Formats: sequence, C-alpha cells, structure tokens
Amino acid sequence: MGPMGGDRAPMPIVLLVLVAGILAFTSDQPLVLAALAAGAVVFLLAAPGHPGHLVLIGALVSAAGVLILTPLVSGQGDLVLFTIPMPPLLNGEITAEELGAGASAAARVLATVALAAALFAWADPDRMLAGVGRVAPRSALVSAIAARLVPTLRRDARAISETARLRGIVLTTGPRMARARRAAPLALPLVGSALERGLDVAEAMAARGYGEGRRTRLPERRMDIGERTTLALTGILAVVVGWAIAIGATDFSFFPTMGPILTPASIALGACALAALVLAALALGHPRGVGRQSAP
Amino acid sequence: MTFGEEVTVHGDPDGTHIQYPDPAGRQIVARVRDLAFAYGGSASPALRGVSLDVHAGEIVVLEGPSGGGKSTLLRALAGLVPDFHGGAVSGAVEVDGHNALALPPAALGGAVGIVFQDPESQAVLDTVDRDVAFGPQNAGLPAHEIVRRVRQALDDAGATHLTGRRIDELSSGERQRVAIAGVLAREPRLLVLDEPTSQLDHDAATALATTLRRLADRGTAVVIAEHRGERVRPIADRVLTVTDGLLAPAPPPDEAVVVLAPPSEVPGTPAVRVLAVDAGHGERRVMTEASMALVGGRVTALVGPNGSGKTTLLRVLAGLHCPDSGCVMIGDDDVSALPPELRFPRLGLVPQDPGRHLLTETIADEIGVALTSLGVEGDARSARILDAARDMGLDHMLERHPLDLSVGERERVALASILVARPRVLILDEPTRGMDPARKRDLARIIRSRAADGVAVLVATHDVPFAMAAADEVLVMRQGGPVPGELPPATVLTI
Repeated sequence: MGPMGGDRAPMPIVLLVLVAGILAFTSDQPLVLAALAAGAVVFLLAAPGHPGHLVLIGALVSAAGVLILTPLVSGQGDLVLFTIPMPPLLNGEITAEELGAGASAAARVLATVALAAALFAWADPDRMLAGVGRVAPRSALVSAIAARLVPTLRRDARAISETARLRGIVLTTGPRMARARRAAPLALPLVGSALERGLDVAEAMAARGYGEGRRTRLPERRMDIGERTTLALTGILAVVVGWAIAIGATDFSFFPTMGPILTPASIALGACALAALVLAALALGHPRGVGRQSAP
Repeated sequence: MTFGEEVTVHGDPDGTHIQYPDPAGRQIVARVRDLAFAYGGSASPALRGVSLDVHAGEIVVLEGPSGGGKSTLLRALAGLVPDFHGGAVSGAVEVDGHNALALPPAALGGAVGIVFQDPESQAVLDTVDRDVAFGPQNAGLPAHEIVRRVRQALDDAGATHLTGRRIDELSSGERQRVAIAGVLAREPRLLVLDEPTSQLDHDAATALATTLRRLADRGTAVVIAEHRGERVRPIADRVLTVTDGLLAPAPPPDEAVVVLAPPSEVPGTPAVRVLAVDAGHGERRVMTEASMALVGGRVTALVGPNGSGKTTLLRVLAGLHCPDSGCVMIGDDDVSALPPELRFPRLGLVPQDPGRHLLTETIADEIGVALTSLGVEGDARSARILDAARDMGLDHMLERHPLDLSVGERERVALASILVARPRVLILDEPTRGMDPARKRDLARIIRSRAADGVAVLVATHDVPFAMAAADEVLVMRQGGPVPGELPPATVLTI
C-alpha cells in the first residue's frame, strides 16, 4: 500500500492539471482527447506509490459505460454500421458518428478522472491543505481531518480484517459471494472506528491550538528542477491550448457526418498534450535534489 | 482556603482570565479545586471533587486503575473537558491564569500541551517536521521561530533522526516520540502526558524520563498518567493515585514479586517452530535466517527495542506476514502456506492495540465471535463466554458496547476474545499496554495458568517487570532473529 499523496510542490501540478482539464472540456477532437487521455493515464501511473490502479479501473468502467450508452441514447449520424434490437426509447441503429461521439466522451471521462487522481497522487497533501487553508480555513479543517483519516482508515480496515481472520472468519478463500457475505458485517466496526478516529483527530487539533488565531507557515523548500520543468511544460501547453482555442482547432462536428480527425492542428495539439504530460511525469519522477531547502 | 472564594480576580471582565496569589512562594501553574465531572450519558461521575496544585518545575505522576479518572483529569487540565467532550462539570480548573473550564483549548494560548494515550491519533499532518510545526504555526509564530522550535522539540524528544519521514511509515514508538515533540514545540508551561511510555522500549522510556526531568528543571510543570510507575517514579516530585474519580497520595510501590506457578519441569515437544525465516518490508530486511521454537507449558518473553522485528516475527507465526523464505511449523504440520484463519484455533494472536479493532456491538458478542467460527452454540457457548469474561474481569459488563470502554478494558476484551478459543499456541503483542498493575498481575496469572495446561505462550513486550513475573525464558530480537537472552534490569518490580 503506497503512501497517501506525493511530496511534490502542488503549484506546477495544479496548473498542469488545470490546463489539461481546460483542453479536455473545450476540445471535441477525438484525436486530441485520445492523446490527452493517454497522457493523463501515463501521468497517473508514474506517480509515487502507484496509487492509480483502482482509480483507473473505475475510470475505465465509467468510460466504457459512456462509450456503450452514447449510441443507444443518440439517434444521429449518416453512416449506419449495424442495427441491434432495442426496447422502446433506446436507439438500436448504431452509426459511426455515434460511436465517434461516444469514444470522445469516454476519452474525456478517462482523462478527467486520471488528471484529478494524478494531482492527489503527485502533490504534497500538506502543502495542498495549506493552500486551501489560505482561502477557506474551515474547509481546510475538514480536509485535514479527512486527509488524516484516509490512510488511518485503510490501516484500520486491514486490522479489522486481520482481527476477524485471527478468530477463524474465512475472508480470503472460497466463493466470492460467500466471502463478501462474511466480510459485510465488518463494515460496521469500520464506521465506528472512522467516527472515533475523526473525533480523536479533531480533539488533537483543538488541543494543539487549531483555531487560535492567524496561522503562520513553515517555510517550504524551493521548487526543484523537475517541478520547474513541469511549470515550463505547463506554460508551453497553455500557449498551445490558447492558440488552438483561438483558431478553432478544438472544434469538431460529429453529426450528421463526422469531420476529419487527422488534421495538422489536431495532430499538433494532441502531440503537444501527450508530450507535456509524459515529460512532466518523467521530470517529476526524477529524484529530488536541486533547489531543495534543508528541512528544519 | 476555598478555591474561588478568597481569591482576587484580575484580568478579563468576563472572568475567563484569572490570576491567583501564590501562598507557598512557588509559582502555581495549574490549580484544580473540587472538580467533579460526568460524561454525558454516564451513570457515574468520572471525577469526584478533585483538588490539585501543580507548581512550576514539578513532576506529578498519576497512577491508578484503568477507568479511574486519570485521563479525564488530564483532559480537564488541557481544556478539553468539558469544551470538547461535553458533560456535567463543577469546580474550577485554572492553568497559567486561564480558566480552563470556560475557555476552549485554543484560547489557553499554548499554556498547556497534552500528549494523548494513542499517538496514532495525535498526528495531524503527513510528515514529521510539518506535524511538529503544527502547534507553533497555530500560535502564529514567525517562520524562523517555528524552525527553531521544531528542531529543539525533535531534539528534546529524541526524534531528530525522524526529520522528513512520513508519519505513516513510523513505528508506534517513533510516533510517540513525534507526538511528544509536537507538544513540546509549543513550549507549554504545563505538559500533561497520558501513558507516554506505553509503546517505548526501555532505553527510549529512560531517555524520555530524562527529557521530562530536564524540562521540569527549566520550569515546566509536568503531569504524567502512567501505569508503569517504575519508569517515571524516579523523576517524580509527587506520586498520586486516581481511583473511582478521587485523588489521593499513592502508596509506595509494591516491590514484592508475585510468586507464580513454577515452570513446567518436563519440557514438552515444540508446539510451534520457525525455521530459517527471512522476512521484511519491501526492501528493508527485518529477519534473516531466524529460527526459534516454543514449547508447550512454557511462557517465553520476546524483547527488543522498537523496530527490531518483534511484531513481524509474531505476524509471521500467525500467518499475517508472508516470509520470503523458511517455514513455520505447528506441531508437525508445515503451515507456512496457510492463512491465519486456517491456523485458528491452534494458534491465537492478540495483536498490538487490539482494542481499536473490535468487531461487534457488545462484549458478549465480541468474545463469542471465535466460538461462532468453532461452531460452539447454546449453553456451552454462554458458559465459555462467561468464563473468558470472568478471567479478564469483564463479567459485569457483558452487554456494554466495546467503544464505551477505556483503552485498558478494550484490550482485555480482545484478550478474552482469543483466549475463549483455547488455542494451543498463544501469542500476545504488547498485552500490558494501558493495563494497571492489578490487571497485569491477573494477566500474568492467566498466562501462567494456560501454560500449566500445556499451552505454549509467547509474549512480545517492553514491560520488563511483567516479563520477569510471567516468563520462563527470554528471547531477544538481535541481528535479525530471536536469540536466548536476559531481561534488562528493572528499576522497581511492581508485579
């Protein structure tokens, strides 16, 4: 089980995710969205602790749902590929345009989820909370409790499961449904544990002076070469995305007939998005050292 | 002098900032008068008319049974009772001139710092230095002063080597040091600590005691609640006991070692064996070619400093940690590939901090979980539950919810929940944490009694007096494995 969150300065990562997110929501170009999704997945999988697998499975399931459902709820497009029997209100006539629109929407879902997960996987959670605290102190308190609780509850969940196994409850072998039935009652002690832990953390924060007045900050280390590189890549991507939006390169029409996918502008924009995310993953994955300020 | 009657009140017009004269010439940092408190929904009060003065530079040690009111008194000194917990309160508590019963903890201006019993719950941020800086940041100190305080506090707590580490990756003992550093960083005038040595090894506990004495000599008032009095009595100026919500001077420690049943004269065959086991956590190797055997009828104490691999060895035995190589035998069966549920009920493990992870809504149900797995029903089930509860002093509270119990009581519930299955190999990881001396004596007797029935018992512990009273032999974790050894000297035998 990897640690919760990375140790990277949040600002370059927040900006990169923001620019990439803007591209995901402004572009309808299938090629651009596919490149963006691929880059986001690489960016997520390269994060420390390899926390992306479960998120990725969830995102892929959601994306597959969007891909399958879009042709069934849409009745547009000229190029009919095949027809399947469907109950009323659903469309059984599947067109290439509907599939293209579904694939684009699925890529958007995948890219968005992967980018959000990558942000939390790479960025230092304490520094992110500090940033939230500057604009919304009360939200920061809730976030701090939640952030502390997540890893603690993961440990509690494992400990509760081990406690049950040490008393002869079989949780790791046998049919999946039987195991699930035996494990279900363990959710209750986990909820109890979560509530108790939440109170404990809140009490510790209160006892340590949280809410006393205006808080100051421990000086943070300066950005290292990887973070500065990410910032530079973000700047380049922002310029390219701005240019693409300005000239309409992000526009795409699926219906009634799908527009051209492979255009010079879409290839350039997709390549740029993919390269920015992959290079950022490489830069951030490089061991820290340059620009590091000694810890207190 | 009756507190609150013959004093002159200065300061805030609302009476929340009170200063008292100092009749004895020593500065009084904390003053408690006639404090009574009952938690909401509780039938009996946790504190009943407690009065106490704590002077600057003084170390006061609080002893007493689990659930006697020690932790509640510490929370009252820290301003958490009744502000955070609610409940009915009367009397007065003042800390460094602040009315701690009327003000929220944050308004006490850092005059008091509290280290809780469970260091896991004390951390707020993810890395050591940031977590230690949390208090000074809340106080609004300038950055350079925060850095100085963090360095000093880590040094005082013996935790400088943990700088930059993630809290998640620390052992319990290391977390306890960080929790202490986090409180020291506020430089409080009153420092209260709840069972601060419960997860520390002998050397770390000695180092902590030295640090607390040094802080007191600098003028900090220190109040420590501790079941293991032998660790903190040497530095105490006063030792008090809190029993049934009442405060009284503590009697001198009972230095007599309880005479226990003699060890088995006829060593049995090995009940469990570890053969050439390698194990670790990722890249970090904890055990190398480790071998040992536990014999039925004998109690073995496993000792060693924090992080030496005691818990890993126990988890390997129970099937919770898969070794990289080697094997584990129960009797003549190689169980290396078996999960813990298939080593049950031959082997029973009570893990560290088990009271946190109880499974059901009542104590009776909790003890009965193992019997359900064994298919024991009806009257036999009820009788075994009652027997196990009686052994652990829980028979009068069978219908209570485990979350309503004190830490020590919960640990006893967890012990009973394993003992009820009557395992032939019984393994306990730090079983005396949060236990008062009377309960430790009971536990030592129970362990000896099980051993007399032929059970092989292994106890990993930092509690030297307990190990001396309960164990026939000692294994020390050294150079990646358990080797026969001797216990470090105990200051006072309280078992």
